[in-house]
Amino acid sequence: MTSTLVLARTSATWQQADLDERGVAVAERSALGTTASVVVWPPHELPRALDAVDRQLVALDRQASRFREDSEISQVNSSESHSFFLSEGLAELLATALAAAELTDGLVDPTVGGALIAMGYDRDFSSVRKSRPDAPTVGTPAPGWASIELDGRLLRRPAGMVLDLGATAKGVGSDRSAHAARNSMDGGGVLVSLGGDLAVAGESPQGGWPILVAEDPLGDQRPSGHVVRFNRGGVATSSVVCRRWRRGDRTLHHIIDPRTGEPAQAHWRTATVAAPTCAHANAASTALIVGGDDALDMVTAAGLPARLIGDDGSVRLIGSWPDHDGGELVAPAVDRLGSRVMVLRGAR
Amino acid sequence: MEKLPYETDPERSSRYAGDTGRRPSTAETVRNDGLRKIRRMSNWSLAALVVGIGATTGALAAATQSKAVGTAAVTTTAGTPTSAAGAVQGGPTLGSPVATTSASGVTVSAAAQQGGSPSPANSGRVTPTGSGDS
Repeated sequence: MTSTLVLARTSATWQQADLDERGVAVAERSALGTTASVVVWPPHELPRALDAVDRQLVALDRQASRFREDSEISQVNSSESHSFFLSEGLAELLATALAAAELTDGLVDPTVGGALIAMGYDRDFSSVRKSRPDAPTVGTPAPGWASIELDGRLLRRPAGMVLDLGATAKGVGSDRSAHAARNSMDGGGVLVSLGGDLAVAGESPQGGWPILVAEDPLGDQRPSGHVVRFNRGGVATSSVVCRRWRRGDRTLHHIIDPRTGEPAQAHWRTATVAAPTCAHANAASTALIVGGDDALDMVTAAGLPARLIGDDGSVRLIGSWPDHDGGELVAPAVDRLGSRVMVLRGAR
Repeated sequence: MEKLPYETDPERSSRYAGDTGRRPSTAETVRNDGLRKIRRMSNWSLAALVVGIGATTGALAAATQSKAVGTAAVTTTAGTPTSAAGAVQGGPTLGSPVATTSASGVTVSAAAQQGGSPSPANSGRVTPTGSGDS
């Protein structure tokens, strides 16, 4: 890697990137508090792909953003009611979150919303005050995903429970967007990134989609990433090195351990996972940060390749994760998370 | 083993062939033999026709299938359509990374990765900014 890494400066409208690679077209814009990127081949399919991705992003934001008062999940969170009839989109997002909770034995839990708010993450991260003199309240364990009932589109949850789908929603968004974009195109393939959560659909470029796996794109002295190529499914990274803020004398981050309601005492500071879907990869990478070895057993049993970076910067490769630059990253074909979502959605 | 009566009794056999009991004339016998022969030939023809149709259908099906394998999309468990002939058909060869997976929610501009610069995309669509960090 010789190029300099900088933060994307994107706007609300798509900006097409001028790349050395002529076989693909790339566009980026800000979305969901982060950056959305769409990479398409053949390049002339880009406009159609962007339209399709736009529709998915707008829908996702309206369904699941905790930081929009008018979003569906905000209305659920602020309601004193116990029962809700959800939109198809939010029901799918919640089913994915519950399936992830089940699959990770509760290490990833959509009921951590209250804990996140207590820690100060109560608005879009760009608006979160990065330093406040007052100490955060002591965390309390999350109510727990098992107290939620989802039957098709009918949700029952204890009043006052605040849902947060942050550990899976971006992954679902990448999956949805990639498939929607591909379906809008006449052929070829597409890669969608939402804040670094990647999903692909359609045919891959020859040898696969080359992606950079980097811990910290800010370009400081941390170990640089490496390049892998993947052909199917999704790749996601969770980390505690970014999205940090201070309250009193404590440095906090956004990955909450549901068992304590506090920011996770991370066993690894960064975890990257490849899986049959980006949602699955996102759930697994979050679980690795929260659960350490407990989650590692699950990830290994599921055959998910992973790349872990310890506090000391040491890199550990799990499963079939390639050990050389340009190696092929192969996610398993069997989507256990998706199967569970189907059951929760009533499509047995 | 005792044989059943009509297995050895020509009279009964002929009655079973539809005779009324009287002895057939020579002309009738010749006509019956002819009809029997025609019936037998028809059966063979029918059998041959069935086999022929079967073989033709099978050959056509095989040809159609082998043609379809080259272009058909299959759905994986993840719901991703991929080429049945593999993921490397006809795609470009890319030398540099086109996306980054990194610390949560922070991304690198693809243009920045490759030293390029962004320009407005030609979709011409203005979309409201998502204000949430889902």
